[in-house]
Amino acid sequence: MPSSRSKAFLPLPVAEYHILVTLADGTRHGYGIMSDVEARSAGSVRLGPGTLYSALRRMVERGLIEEAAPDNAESERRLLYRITTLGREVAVAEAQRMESCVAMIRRTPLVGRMEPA
Amino acid sequence: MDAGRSSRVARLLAQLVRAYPPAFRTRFRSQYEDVIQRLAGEPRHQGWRGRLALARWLIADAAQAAPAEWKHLAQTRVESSASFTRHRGTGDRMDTLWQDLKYAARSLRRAPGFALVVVVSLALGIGANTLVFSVLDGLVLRPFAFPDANRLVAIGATFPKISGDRQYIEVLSPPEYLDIRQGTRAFERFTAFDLGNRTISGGDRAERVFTAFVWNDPQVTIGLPPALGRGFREEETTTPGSSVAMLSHRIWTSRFGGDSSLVGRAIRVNGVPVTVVGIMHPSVLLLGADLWLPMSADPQDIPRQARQWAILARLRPGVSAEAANRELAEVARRTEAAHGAEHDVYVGWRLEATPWAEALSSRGGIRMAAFILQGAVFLVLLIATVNVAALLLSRAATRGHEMAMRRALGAKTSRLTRQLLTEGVLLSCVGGAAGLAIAMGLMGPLTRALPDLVLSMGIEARPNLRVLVITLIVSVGTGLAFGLAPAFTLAMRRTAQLIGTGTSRTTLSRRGRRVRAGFLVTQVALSMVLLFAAGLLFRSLNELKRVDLGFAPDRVLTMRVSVAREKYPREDIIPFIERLVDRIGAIPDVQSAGAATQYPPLNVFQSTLSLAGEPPGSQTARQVDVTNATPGFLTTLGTRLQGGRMIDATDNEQSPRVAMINETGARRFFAGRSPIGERVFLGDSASGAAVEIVGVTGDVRNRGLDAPVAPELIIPARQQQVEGNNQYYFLVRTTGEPMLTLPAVREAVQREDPDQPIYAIGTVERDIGNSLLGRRAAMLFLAVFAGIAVTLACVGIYGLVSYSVNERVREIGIRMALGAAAQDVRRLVLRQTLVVVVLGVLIGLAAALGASGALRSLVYGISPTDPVTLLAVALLLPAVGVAAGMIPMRRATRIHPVEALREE
Repeated sequence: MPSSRSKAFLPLPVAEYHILVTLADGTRHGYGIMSDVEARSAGSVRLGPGTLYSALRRMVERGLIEEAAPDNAESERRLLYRITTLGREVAVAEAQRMESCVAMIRRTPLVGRMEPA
Repeated sequence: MDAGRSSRVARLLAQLVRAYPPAFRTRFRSQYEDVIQRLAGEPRHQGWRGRLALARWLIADAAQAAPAEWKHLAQTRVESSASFTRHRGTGDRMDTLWQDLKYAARSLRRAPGFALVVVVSLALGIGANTLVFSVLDGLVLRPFAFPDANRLVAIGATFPKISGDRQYIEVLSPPEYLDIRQGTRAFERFTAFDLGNRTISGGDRAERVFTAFVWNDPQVTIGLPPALGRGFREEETTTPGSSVAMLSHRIWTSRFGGDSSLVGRAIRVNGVPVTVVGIMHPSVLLLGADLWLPMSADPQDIPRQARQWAILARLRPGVSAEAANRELAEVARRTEAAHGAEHDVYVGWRLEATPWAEALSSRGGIRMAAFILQGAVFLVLLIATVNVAALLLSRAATRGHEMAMRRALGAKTSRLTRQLLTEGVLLSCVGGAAGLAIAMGLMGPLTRALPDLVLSMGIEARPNLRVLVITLIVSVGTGLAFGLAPAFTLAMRRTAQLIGTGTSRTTLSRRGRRVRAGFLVTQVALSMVLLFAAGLLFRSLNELKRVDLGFAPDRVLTMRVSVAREKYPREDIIPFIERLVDRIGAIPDVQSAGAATQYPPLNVFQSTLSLAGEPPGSQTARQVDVTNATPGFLTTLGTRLQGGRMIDATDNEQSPRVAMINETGARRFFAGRSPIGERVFLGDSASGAAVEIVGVTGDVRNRGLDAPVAPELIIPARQQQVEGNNQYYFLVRTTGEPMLTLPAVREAVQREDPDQPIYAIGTVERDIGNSLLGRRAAMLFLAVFAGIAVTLACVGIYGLVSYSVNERVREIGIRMALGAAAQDVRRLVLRQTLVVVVLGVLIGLAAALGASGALRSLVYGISPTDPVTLLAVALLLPAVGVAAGMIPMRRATRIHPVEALREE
């Protein structure tokens, strides 16, 4: 069950949701996040660098993710991002929220023809 | 190749990070750059399409994300500043300013006449100032936007034996260039060039273009890389046989449509194929040369007296112009010692380096005229500010009551002061903006009106940042200064005093009135100076138009023909030109035609002359203009034969060498006796054959309308001094409008040789007009400024008189009630106006006489202190001033006594 503290973050902006999903798989740097999001969504979601770092800034400030220094020398240019426990909770809560939205739509006769994915 | 390009694209696109707030930038810049670099490296972002798609996507991304970041920043700011004001309780600064502005706007709306006069005054003053300063900045102060332009110099030479004027263009010979190169260490690089004309073909038409022949790539000296391709290699310019060329950026775009594949291809120059190796940087337009060819010769192989080169040099960093000039003086001294015996022109010659921009803009008196204009404009600005000051002052006085009330109601003096300042600054900023708009609007037309000569040098006049900043300083400064003055009075007085003055309505204190009258006196005096200057130039132009030219300038078509040496061997050049003259002369509308190497009003070719019995080229050699002409030339020009005979077709290569001399030459060289039959020698070499003078022509103005006639020799073209000279001007006298015969003239030339271009087409009248252009422009400007100044002064006088009429409504009413006639009242007001105007005129007279020295170079035929002009101006101003005072005065005489008394 999603905790009440994660509810405050919902609904989550699309970019932040995708970033959380990607980071749930492991830490990544900016370009890694971009290409992963694009690959996962089969090219339908492309985050531009501005959108990406704007979202990362917000998410760090709100405690959904945290910065992690990489072990190699390129620390400045390839800063890593890691999901926090709160981030995981929020991602799950957002997924559940969307799921219930979808379920609600399926129950509606007009759009009932939608096949389960 | 592509990898390099994509990293360049990445660097460019990484600049998008600038769209974000500083905090975001510092935090994410390197990551942002890293991502863009990787994106640019992706296979899908290769090729121009891919790069374009990437750029489009990134820009859209920034357009979306950056505003969000700024909004975020603003929110955090508001939060923190809100807490700040809560704690400190002083957060209403901005509110106060806003309130002041609103109040100022409202109170100005209530006095639209006042606001309008102030804004118009400032707009005219600032507009004119900005306009002229922009032009001045472009032409004189910083005409060439070259890197480190102050280290770029032209080397000027002065030959006292020739003319005594320092010249920069076509003045030095290649051996002298080598002397300078080897004898100095102050310069890091030199470029020497000679100017000429070449016909380029290829494409649809043959075209004559201004051409520079160079040693050492000028682009390196100037410090700007070529726009495309490469510059000349050193060896290309010094060894014969290199067939390469560079084109100016402007001809590349205008004639070749900016086709980048032109580089590496061949074009034909005078029929010979030449490979284009590069396109010049757009800013590099040395004296308007469109085609650049290497000299392709060793400077050593060219004779010392072939002085047709100019030298452009770059000073080493940190080397002063004085140090360079010391070295140049030493070079001149050594050359004189080494070659002075053989070439006596070296006696006393001087070499000096002058900043390139200055050297060029000193041509044609542009510099002088521009500075006079700047002075005039400064006066206009002064008048405008004086007007504004007077208006603001009297307004402050009339608002004494209001201020007193507000102070009594608890407003602090500082608050009221700020209010007055805000009003002043608001007014002057509106005026400044209007002025800037005027300047921008007029810049284009003005630039187009500049002489072609100026524009062909590659000089541009346009409004720039410096001008903008200066305008801003001037307008805000005016507002502050004159908003402050009333504020100062306010601070000095006690409330009771202010209320006291307020009760008797709007009265200016005695001192205030005197200050205002003083301002008006200044305005009238300044207008007087401008009017006088405009008047002097107007009279000078009239004098110049009355000058006896010595020939008839009307209905003469002029054009230039350069015979291609590749096509006509030197002995065929003159016969070809004569055939052209014959064909043109046979056109029905043509009275006569002739050709010559130069024609009035401006000769350029000179030589030295020695009389029989004197050693040629010795100390006694005299300066003389030498014109080579076909027999029809003097007839076409309409010069008078004063003695002897005209040169004619019998004077050819085989016949004895003959010449005609003008009256000035006859008088100067043969004092008293007839020159006919005398023998002279030309040039400074002893090899020249004797020339017999066979005729005397009447003087023509050959050094411009305003200079004395120079001695001149006319030599038959077939016996020309410089063998193989291939450039002739054609003069064609027509029965009707000369330009209408141009098609027939072209056709005649084409029939003789279809490939022969004619160019520099004009009329003698136009040449004369052009020679007066600088003067005419200066006069026009001064007249406009004088007009503005007088208008502003009249506005001031009108203001003063109507103000004092208003002020004295009661007094006038009582006087009239007591039986004073309208005439008496009129006299009262008139006296007030006249005192101001006459005082202004007297001071103006003194100032005008003092300033007239600056105009000396532009004044012709009259004294710079011309009494006629002075008198006319001194009479005009009081007349205009009284007329301006008349308008409010009429109101005064119509005051009804009862109404006047009731007004209280």
